Amino acid sequence: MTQVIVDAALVDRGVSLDISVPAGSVTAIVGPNGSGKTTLLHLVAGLLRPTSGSVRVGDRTLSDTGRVVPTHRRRVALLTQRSSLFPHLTVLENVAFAPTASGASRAAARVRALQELAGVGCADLASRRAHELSGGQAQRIAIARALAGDPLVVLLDEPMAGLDVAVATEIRHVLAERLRGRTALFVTHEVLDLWTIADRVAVVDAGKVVESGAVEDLLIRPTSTFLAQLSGLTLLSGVECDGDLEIAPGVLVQGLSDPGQPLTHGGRGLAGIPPEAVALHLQQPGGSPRNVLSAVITSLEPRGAVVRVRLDVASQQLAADITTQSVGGLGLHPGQAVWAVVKAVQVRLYGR
Amino acid sequence: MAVPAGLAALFLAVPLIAMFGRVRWDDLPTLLSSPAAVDALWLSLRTCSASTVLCLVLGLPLAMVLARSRGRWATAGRILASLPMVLPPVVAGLALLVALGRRAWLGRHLSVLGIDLAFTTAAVVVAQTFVAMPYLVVSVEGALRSAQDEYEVVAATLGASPTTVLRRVTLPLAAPAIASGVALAFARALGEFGATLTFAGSLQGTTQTLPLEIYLARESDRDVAIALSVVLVVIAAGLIAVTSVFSRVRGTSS
Repeated sequence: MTQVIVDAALVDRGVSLDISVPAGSVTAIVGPNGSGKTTLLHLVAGLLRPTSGSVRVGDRTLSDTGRVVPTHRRRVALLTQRSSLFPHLTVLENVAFAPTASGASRAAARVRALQELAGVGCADLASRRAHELSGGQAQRIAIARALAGDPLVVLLDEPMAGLDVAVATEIRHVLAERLRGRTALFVTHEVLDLWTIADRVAVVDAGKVVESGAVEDLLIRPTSTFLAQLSGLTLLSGVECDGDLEIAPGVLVQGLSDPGQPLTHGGRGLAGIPPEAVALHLQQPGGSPRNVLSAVITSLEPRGAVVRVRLDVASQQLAADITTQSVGGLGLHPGQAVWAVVKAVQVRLYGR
Repeated sequence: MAVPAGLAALFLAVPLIAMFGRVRWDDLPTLLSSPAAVDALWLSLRTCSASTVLCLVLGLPLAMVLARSRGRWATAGRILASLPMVLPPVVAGLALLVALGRRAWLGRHLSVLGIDLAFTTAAVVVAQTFVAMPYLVVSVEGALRSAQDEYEVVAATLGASPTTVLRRVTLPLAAPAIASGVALAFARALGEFGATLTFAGSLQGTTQTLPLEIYLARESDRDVAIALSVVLVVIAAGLIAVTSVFSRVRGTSS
C-alpha cells in the first residue's frame, strides 16, 4: 500500500503544501479557486518541481530539491475535466496504452484493457474512436485508461466539471466504485463527491493546507467558513456557558451538543446552523425552546425560489434562507434590524 | 461577392484550360519520349525524390525542436526555417552558389575533400531541398505544437517514456501533417526553377529538370513544352488532392 506525503513549496506560485494521504484513502482536495489545488496534483505527478521540500509516494522519494523522478516513472495517473483520449487510437488501444507502455505483451494488455472497460460499463465501445463517443462515455473510458496502468496514486482534477448533472451522477457512481481502496487525491467543488467518493478531505486556501481530516468529522462539525459553506451551514463561534454557547457577552445560543465532539466546560465552541432553519421576524417573538437573536440584514441574494438573507449577529455572520414571498411580505432590505429565530433542535453545538 | 469570386475562378482556370486545349493528345506519347524529355522527366523524378527524403530527414527533427522551443531564439529559428518560402528562387540559388560554389567559402573546403557540388545533379538536389524544406517544417511544426501539451502529458502519466510518447503519440498524431508536408515539399521541389538554374545550371541529363527543359523547349519545340507542362499540372493536381485528403483526415480525428 502506498501513502502520499507532500511537504513542498513552489515559490513562484506562492504555495507551501503539507499533506499526507494515507494508503487506500481517497482524499478530497477542496478550496477556493486559485488556492493551489491543481498545483498540488501537478507536484505529485511531477509536472511541476518543488523549489523546496519533497514529494514521497510509499517509500520512494519522487521529488526533492536534488532530483525529480520523471512523470512516466512515477506510476501516477491523472484524470482531468478533459478526457483527452488519443484521437488516433481506438477505445481499446487507448485503455491498453499504459499496460503496453510498461512492457506488457499485446495480448496481456488487451485482456487488461477489456477488463477495465467492463469495469466502467463500456466493453461494447472497444472499437470506437474518441470522436464517436459522448462526453460521459469518453470520461468513463479515461477512467478505465488511467486505472489500467495500475497506478500507485490516482490524481483527479475536477473530472466531472464539464458534464451535465445526470452524466456527472453516473461518473460519480463509477468513480466511487473504481476508486475504492486506492490512494487518490481528488480536487472537487461538489460536496456530494465528498460524501460519495472521498473518505478524507483537505482544505487548501491561499497555497496552504489549512484543515484536513475524515469527511464525517469535517463536514458534520466544520470549523472553517469554507467547509461550513460546503456542508450548507453557517457558523457562530463562542464559549461554553452552562451547556449553551455564549457568542457575545450575554448572547446565548442553545442547541444539541454533538456527542462526537461535545462542548467542554468554559471551552471554545461552534454552533452549526443550517440557513433553512432560520426564520426572520420583525417583532420579537415569545416562547421557547427557541433561539431569538437580534440581527441586522447585510445583504439579500436571490437563489431560485429562496432568498439568502445575510445577517450580522453580534458581529458574526449568520445566513437565513427565506422564501421570496416572505421577503416581499416582510419588506426586508439591507440595514434593517430583525429577529432571527432558530429552534434549538436544529442547532448543533460542538467544541473546537 | 459572386461576381468577383466567379472572375477569380475563371482567372485561375482559363490559362490551364487554354493549355490543355493546345495539347496534341495523339502525339503525346511521341512528344514525351524524345531523349531530352525522357532525361528531364527521369532526372526530375530522381532529384525530387532525393530532396523530399532530405526534407523529411532534416526537416522533421527541426520541426520537432521548433515545436518544443519558446523564446527569442525559437522565433529566430522559425523565421529562418520559413525564409526560403518567400525568398526569390534566384536569390536562393545565388546564396547557395556563394556558399557552396567551387571557389566559394564552404565549397573550397568541400573541394579539398573531393566534393564538387556546383553544376552537378547533387546541386539540383541541394537547391530543391533548400526551397522545399520550409513547406514541410512549417506544416509539421504547427500540428506538433497543437498536439503537444495535452496528449503528451497524458501519455507520460500513463507511463510512456519520451521515446514511446514520440513513437506512439506525437508522430502518429502529426502523421497527416507530415504526409501533407511531404506532398507540398515534393511539389515545390518539382517546380523548382530559379535556384536550380542559378546554382546547378542546365545540362541535359545532369541538371536539366522538367521546368528547365520546358523553359528551353518553349522556343524550339512548343509542343514538347506543352506536353511536359501537362505532365507537371497532372502531378501537381494529384499532390494537392493528397494533401486535401490528409487535412480532412486530421479534421475528423481531432
